[in-house]
Amino acid sequence: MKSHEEIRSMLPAMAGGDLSKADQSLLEQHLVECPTCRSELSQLQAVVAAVRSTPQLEPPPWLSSRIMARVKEEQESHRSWFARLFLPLQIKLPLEALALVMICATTWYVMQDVNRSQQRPSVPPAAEAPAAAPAREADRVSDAQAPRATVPVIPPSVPVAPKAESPPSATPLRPVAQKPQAAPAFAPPPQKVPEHIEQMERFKSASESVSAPSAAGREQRAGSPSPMADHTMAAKRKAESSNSGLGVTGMQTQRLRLVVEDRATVSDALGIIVQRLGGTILESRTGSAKVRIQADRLPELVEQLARLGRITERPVVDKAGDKVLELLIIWQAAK
Amino acid sequence: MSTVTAEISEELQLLAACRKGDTAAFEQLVLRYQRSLYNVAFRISGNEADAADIVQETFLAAWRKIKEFRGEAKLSTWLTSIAVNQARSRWQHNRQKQGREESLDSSDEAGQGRPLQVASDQPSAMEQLERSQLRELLERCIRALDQGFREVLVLRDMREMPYDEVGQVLGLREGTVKSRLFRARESVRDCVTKGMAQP
Repeated sequence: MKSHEEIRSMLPAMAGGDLSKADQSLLEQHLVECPTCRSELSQLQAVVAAVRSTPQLEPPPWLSSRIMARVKEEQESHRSWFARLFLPLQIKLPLEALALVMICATTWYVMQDVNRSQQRPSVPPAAEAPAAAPAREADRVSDAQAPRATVPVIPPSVPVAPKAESPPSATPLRPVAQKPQAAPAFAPPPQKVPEHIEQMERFKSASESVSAPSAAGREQRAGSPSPMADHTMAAKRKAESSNSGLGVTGMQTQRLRLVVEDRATVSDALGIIVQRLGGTILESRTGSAKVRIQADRLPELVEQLARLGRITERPVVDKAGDKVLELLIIWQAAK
Repeated sequence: MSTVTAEISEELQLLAACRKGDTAAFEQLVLRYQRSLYNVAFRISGNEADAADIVQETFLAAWRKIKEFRGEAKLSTWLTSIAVNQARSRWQHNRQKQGREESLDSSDEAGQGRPLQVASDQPSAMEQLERSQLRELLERCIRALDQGFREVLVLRDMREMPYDEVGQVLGLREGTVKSRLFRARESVRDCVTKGMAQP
């Protein structure tokens, strides 16, 4: 027999018709004797009936349109994202493949270029005489010791003013009466600019853009050559003194001194530059060369030689002089 | 029976079309279920604007997840569970914004143990509830229920959903659904009685 409270707790279920048949008959027996539970059940039944009979509301008429607008908007954004990337396939796919190939090729080229610029030219030019090997070795040693930034910056666009920029101690050579040239003039055959020379020029441009040490420091380094380089310099001076007699054509012979990073490449580069300017190399030796060139092309020659290294002695241009002149170019490695 | 079978078959076809991205098929489902979902949402949220938003978000969520629906439950049950979750999150958001609401349960518990004041000479509750002003009182009492009790009452007594489906929608056991339902009925009864007793 269940207590009053237990039976009372079954009233909400009874009101909704959620009781089992056994519980329902038990409760009905109790209700006959209990007016309080009868009244309570009546209230609960009224509440349940009222809740269940709550009228259904109609959704706003615009609701389905609004929902579908959002659904279509969402679908459209998803489809357009896909379409932007891939559709129409017959057009986009070849274009994307082409773009991919171009990106790969560009990347490969850039990587190759970076690798090349990181390598210094190490193969000596074949035109150099074997006797010059020790001197080149010395130059390489001094190259390794000297910082690259010691090369002065001479922008190509600046007009050449030889007298103003010549060091005070440098005295230009006077024209010397020269004997007729015994040997035929040497003119290198037209050739393509070797890749390692182009690399050197590129590398020089890059190194010139880096902040260079002070001029005083450069002068100090230039003025304190190593003993080995001293020996080389002495040999060169001797060669120059013998070269001074090369002016056999009766023209004025000027002199240009050049301090370069890599002596090995100057000879080739000089040949190309002179050829481009319409000149001729009369004689070429280790560390020096004699060229013949139109006087009006001299500034260009000087400008291009300035890209190979630092000019320490410039030729004096005599405007009233000959239209063709001979120039002795002497280069030495930077210390 | 054949009508029910035809409806189920049609619903399956609409679902298959929706999975392929057919918005026209989805619109059919929207038109079919928006009314019942709107009523559930309105009874739980107690606000027409919120109810419309809840229904919209419910269908949007259903559209996004339509490929995941494998038919383990009825579509109406699945949609109702989404709507209840939407209503819950919106209710929590509103609650944080507006502060605490009056809980019918707390007043209910305070009144526990007191004998029910029912005067025998008063008109029956059924007669009073038939009056239109009492309809408003009833809805206020339902809105005053705690969220968990209100959900059960709405789904079972208003939507007349079977207990097992109510359990599926709310993630509750059947016994819990029943106990909450009976408690909710008592709470509403007490609320209505108190409201009627006040002048």
